[in-house]
Amino acid sequence: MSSRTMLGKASTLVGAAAALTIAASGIATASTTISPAAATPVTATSSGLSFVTTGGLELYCTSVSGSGTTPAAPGNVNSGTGGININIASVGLSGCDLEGVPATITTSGSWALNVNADSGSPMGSIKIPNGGAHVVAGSCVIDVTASTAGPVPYNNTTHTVTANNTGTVNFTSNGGSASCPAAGAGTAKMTGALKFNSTPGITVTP
Amino acid sequence: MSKNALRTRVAPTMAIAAALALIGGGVATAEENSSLGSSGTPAATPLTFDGWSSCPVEDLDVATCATVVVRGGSMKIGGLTVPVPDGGLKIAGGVKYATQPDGSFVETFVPKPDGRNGVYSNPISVPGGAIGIDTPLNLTQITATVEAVGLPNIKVLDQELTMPVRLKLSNSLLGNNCYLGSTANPINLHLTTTGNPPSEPIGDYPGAVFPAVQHTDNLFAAPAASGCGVFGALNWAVNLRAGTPSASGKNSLTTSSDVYTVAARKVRPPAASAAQAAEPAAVAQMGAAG
Repeated sequence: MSSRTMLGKASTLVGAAAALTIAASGIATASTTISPAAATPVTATSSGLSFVTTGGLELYCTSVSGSGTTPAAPGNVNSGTGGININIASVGLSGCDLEGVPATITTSGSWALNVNADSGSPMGSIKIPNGGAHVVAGSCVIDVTASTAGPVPYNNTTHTVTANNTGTVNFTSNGGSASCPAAGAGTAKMTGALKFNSTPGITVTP
Repeated sequence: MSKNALRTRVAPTMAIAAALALIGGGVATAEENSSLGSSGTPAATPLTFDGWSSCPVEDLDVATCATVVVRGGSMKIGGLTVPVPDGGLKIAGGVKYATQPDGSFVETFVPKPDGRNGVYSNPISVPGGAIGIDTPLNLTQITATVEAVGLPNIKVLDQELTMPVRLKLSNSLLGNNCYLGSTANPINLHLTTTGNPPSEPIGDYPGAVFPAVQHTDNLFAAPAASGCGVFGALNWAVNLRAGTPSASGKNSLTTSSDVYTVAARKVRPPAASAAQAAEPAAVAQMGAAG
């Protein structure tokens, strides 16, 4: 092996090692802390949340609300990745329609709002359990299956998670009427803002 | 059939055919002179989706806008079969929902207040025209135009369409009031579909479209002709040609349509939407004051 080739290999190795170090340090600092540290009741509300299927049909609700409690210390800190779940005990969606057709939604199971600062910026996701929402619009029935809608940015000042045609909400449709989403599995994207109560107002930091 | 009976039937038909041919020739000549083409028929611009401009969103109770653009099909009335061309018919308007105590809802169609009842139609050429055979230069051509004589009803979820209509038959000899069906005795179309076709985003407009939805109605009856010719003198000829009146079961309409739907709030002007949003608050305040 010539000295030039050896030098080339050595520099490549050094570069790769440096990159790994940087990446490792990035991973090492990925963490999430929710403040305040004490278990704190929170409510999240939205004055307009929409889910648009890949077929262009929109399920829209004028009012969404949910309430839960932030985990108390040490549960309010995750020194690794994956953020922290805030379990939502009761989720209510009202004033809903499927392209204007009146729709009622009942929820069940354990929903969660996952917040994380893994990337350095606060983010939030809505985690919906399998069968977490049952939508009925006439003879059209849609069941939401296990989904994580997000992550989308969380604003520590306004305490708001904002989605803009993002995330993937999985569902199955019974195809019960001609204007129902096609029978079988489908996906939808979410648009809307979910705002936490401002008092005390939770903050999400690395 | 006896020779006399045959002669009795054929003679008037031949007479009216000849008359129609003569009049038709006159029409064709006139139309040729007005640069409408050698066929004597101006090509109607196919009706298309209009981007929700036919939805009466100013009515704040309208929750869904719906448009059905017929892209093709066939109408059979008695012995007459008429192909429905692409864009020959469009039904467009809004839909209100009245929720019932049991949670179900009643859908009510609301057309744009333009006097068309939400039904827009192009004249459709009747193959064979007045005498049942195509003639050079379409001399005996007849066109049929669908006119709504009452409010249609669109069930958005089921994509069902109910329309009381009359068919206007046009030819110079037939006059301007020749119809199959009337306001009092319409052709009641009830188009239904089966299945659950996949939808698609519309593109530049909000909402979704269900392409190529197949609708059928095999049950409508077609009344006898009225108002054809001077004082209805040619009603019998039209009935002879169309086989009318034609009882339920002898007629059919099959169509392939693009069905568009959108929540009205998405196409309502912001000012109207704001007024609508403020409505519940105003009601709440009134309730509090009361």
